[in-house]
Amino acid sequence: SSESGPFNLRNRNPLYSNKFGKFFEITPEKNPQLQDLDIFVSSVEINEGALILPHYNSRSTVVLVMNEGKGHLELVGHKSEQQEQRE
Amino acid sequence: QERSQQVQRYRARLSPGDVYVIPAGHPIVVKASSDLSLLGFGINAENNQRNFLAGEEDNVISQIERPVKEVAFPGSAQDVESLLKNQRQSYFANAQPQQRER
Repeated sequence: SSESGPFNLRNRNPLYSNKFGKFFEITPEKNPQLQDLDIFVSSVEINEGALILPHYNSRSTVVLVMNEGKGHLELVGHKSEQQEQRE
Repeated sequence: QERSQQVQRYRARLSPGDVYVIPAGHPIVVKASSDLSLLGFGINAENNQRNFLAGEEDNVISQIERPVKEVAFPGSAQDVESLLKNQRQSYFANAQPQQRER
């Protein structure tokens, strides 16, 4: 899709998909509009009682916007230096 | 400075309309208590790679060479590999341990 018009994330096959969930993604490599912004967009559906397995993004910082449903998120980081000093 | 860095766990309950920032390189897990729908906007997206730490596909831990597994983990390389093989799904999996499949 090299057009400059609107595009639909869900028009192409999901990147990951099984009976527990679906992961749609369009990356800058596939869309010139996203290339200009250096942004990817993704839409994630996780079925009730399922999880997305632990993973990390190598380069990208992701802003997640919760659309629908209920769930829990767990993120692993390092203790910041400020936190360490306080202890 | 050879102080070992401490790991910090951040947890959140997900509600519609909420926004979460996932810094690059930070492992994350999302569990759905009801059917869940999320949107993600990734900055610095060019050549980004999503690396999984469990499951069969794109699992970076199973890509580590055997001798390296041997020294990196307390168990033997064989122990580590058979443990990694237990999760046969990829990307998404069942989060309810009591309902065993197969």
